[in-house]
Amino acid sequence: METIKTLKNVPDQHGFFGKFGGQYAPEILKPALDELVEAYSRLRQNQEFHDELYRLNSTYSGRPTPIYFANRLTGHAGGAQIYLKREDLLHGGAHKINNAIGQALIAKYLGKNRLIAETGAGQHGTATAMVGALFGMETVIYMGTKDIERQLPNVKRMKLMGADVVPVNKGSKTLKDAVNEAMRDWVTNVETSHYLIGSVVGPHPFPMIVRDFQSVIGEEIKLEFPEKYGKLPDIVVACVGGGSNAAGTFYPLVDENVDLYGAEAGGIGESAGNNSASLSLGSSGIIHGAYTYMIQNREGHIIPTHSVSAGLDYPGVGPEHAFWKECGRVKYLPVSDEEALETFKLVSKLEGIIPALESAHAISLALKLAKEKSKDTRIVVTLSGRGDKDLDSVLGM
Amino acid sequence: MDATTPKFKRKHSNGEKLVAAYWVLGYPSVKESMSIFRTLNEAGADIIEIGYPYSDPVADGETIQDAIQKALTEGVHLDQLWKVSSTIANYSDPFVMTYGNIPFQFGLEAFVEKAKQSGIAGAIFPDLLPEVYPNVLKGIPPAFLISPNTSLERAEFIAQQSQSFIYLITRLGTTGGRNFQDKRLEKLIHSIKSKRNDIPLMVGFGISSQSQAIQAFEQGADGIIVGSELIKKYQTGGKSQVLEFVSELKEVAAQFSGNS
Ligand SMILES: Cc1ncc(COP(=O)(O)O)c(C=O)c1O
Repeated sequence: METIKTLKNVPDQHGFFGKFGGQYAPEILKPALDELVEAYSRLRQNQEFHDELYRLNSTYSGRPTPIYFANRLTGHAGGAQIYLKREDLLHGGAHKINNAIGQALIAKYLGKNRLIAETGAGQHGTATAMVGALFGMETVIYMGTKDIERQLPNVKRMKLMGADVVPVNKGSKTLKDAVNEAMRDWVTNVETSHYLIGSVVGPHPFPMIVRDFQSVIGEEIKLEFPEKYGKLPDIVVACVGGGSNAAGTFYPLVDENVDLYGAEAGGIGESAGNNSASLSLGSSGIIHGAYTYMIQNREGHIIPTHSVSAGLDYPGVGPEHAFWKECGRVKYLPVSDEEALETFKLVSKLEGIIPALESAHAISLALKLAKEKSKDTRIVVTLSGRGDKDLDSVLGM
Repeated sequence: MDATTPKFKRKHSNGEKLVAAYWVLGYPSVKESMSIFRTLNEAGADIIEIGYPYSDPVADGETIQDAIQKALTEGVHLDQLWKVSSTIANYSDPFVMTYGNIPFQFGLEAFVEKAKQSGIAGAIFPDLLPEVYPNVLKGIPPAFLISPNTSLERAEFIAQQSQSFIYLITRLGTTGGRNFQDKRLEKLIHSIKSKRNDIPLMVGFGISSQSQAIQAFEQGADGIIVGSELIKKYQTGGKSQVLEFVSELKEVAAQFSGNS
């Protein structure tokens, strides 16, 4: 039998991307995970669901987003042409809304009227608060107290839109602990609540569901780029925290002749605790319900991570990225705090676009790649969000 | 049943009701936890669950989380687990309860080997469902969890997969005392026991009083598991309270023994 060369028919029915993914979760969640698998496979075939998703994506979020040729940035790099996929222009200021709307719709179809979410930078919490208001659902957001301090404007936004923001004062007081608390809430209230997870992480089917809702990013690139420029881009770059904007960007392109690069948070150094680069500097293990790459010590305890960008400051990564890394389809490279900060300022000055610190990691990597390539090479970078939220932390430094 | 059959299985087949006691290794210090494990022995706990601390204990409630956090700062490591199990094995049946990433990083085969050498009679990994439970790891007889929202069909499947005991959670949520979900629980207990009775059906995650233990036995449980409540007792009244509570539960168990 001839094997069909595709990386698209993952995960398998147990949620595995090769050896990664699966359901490493407490039994109490199993019925809810099964219910979600079943509901999603039904909704995937449901035209009404797709129509509603499409309508909200276009009228509420502002899709499709433009692909912008960054002329001065390209000139600065002096090599390949750099294009920005403008997810920063979406309602709420980041790609997170793509997933939030999709999952809120699932919750609606499941008859669940309460949304639980975790947030690090507050961007996913904000997106969840938005859809909570949009659908009239009770919304509870778990956020580490350390993140609450460094992302105060987003906390205010969430509260204004009616979400209950619950401070998490455990462990490292950041995103990983917020995920733990959100899972505990779900375990307790699983019959009335949907856990609107914010990235391509967690037990199956979350990595698949979030990837699918974020894939609108890559689909738009795949549609628009050849129309305008005659062919697909040569290189596509996205930043990787949990990995949702990157998975959504890459997935529609994995079978195409396009080089894919993920930019991870290299922080202030390669030793554990100084970065959040699970794929490029971590090792494989179980975190938050999936077998994937993570930052851990020798015994397997999760180590608190570091990144200047709260949205990338997470010790795990989506299992599909672990799969792409292992089969060599995507290259993952660390970008340091310093490089990201420099790029944050550079893009603001040259293009009048203030990128999120997360996205600045991706642009920084794209600039490095552009310098080594010829002028007819085209690079698309997913600009996952806008940087207004980061002004205090950047300018205060 | 042969010479290697663990004590708790013999007791079960003799119609004795069981009490399992959970404690976190390293809480409040490594030394004190060793002494508490001795106390649990003295009180007559039939199974002693050694909670091995993990940095991200998602299935545990506030009380145990805090104890785990403290234990981690005390610098607990696996050598202590092997050591304490070997000691416990002289009197009772030690079980290890921790999260999947610990054996994954140690190496599954090496973990099983060490556990066997240390007399560990069973293992509980709350984040390893039967579907993803590595075969090698079954070298330590697994106790799988069944929760109140598990379907009857799935409960039977899980019961079949279990090799040491069957761990029935009494309520939705994490470890720690709260309400029983009576009707559903009783139905589950009967359904499971009608399919599998060679290993005990243990009930846990909510036992904080003698009356709850009585209720569990009345509903048909073969044994009960206490954890969070022991930590609370210790925090208010020290080791003597722990000893007293486990002894009381043993009395309750004795009242129900022999009439299964
Ligand atoms: C703008 C932006 N980009 C990227 C991320 C990282 O998430 P992911 O890797 O899931 O896209 C975040 C997370 O908060 C974000 O706010």
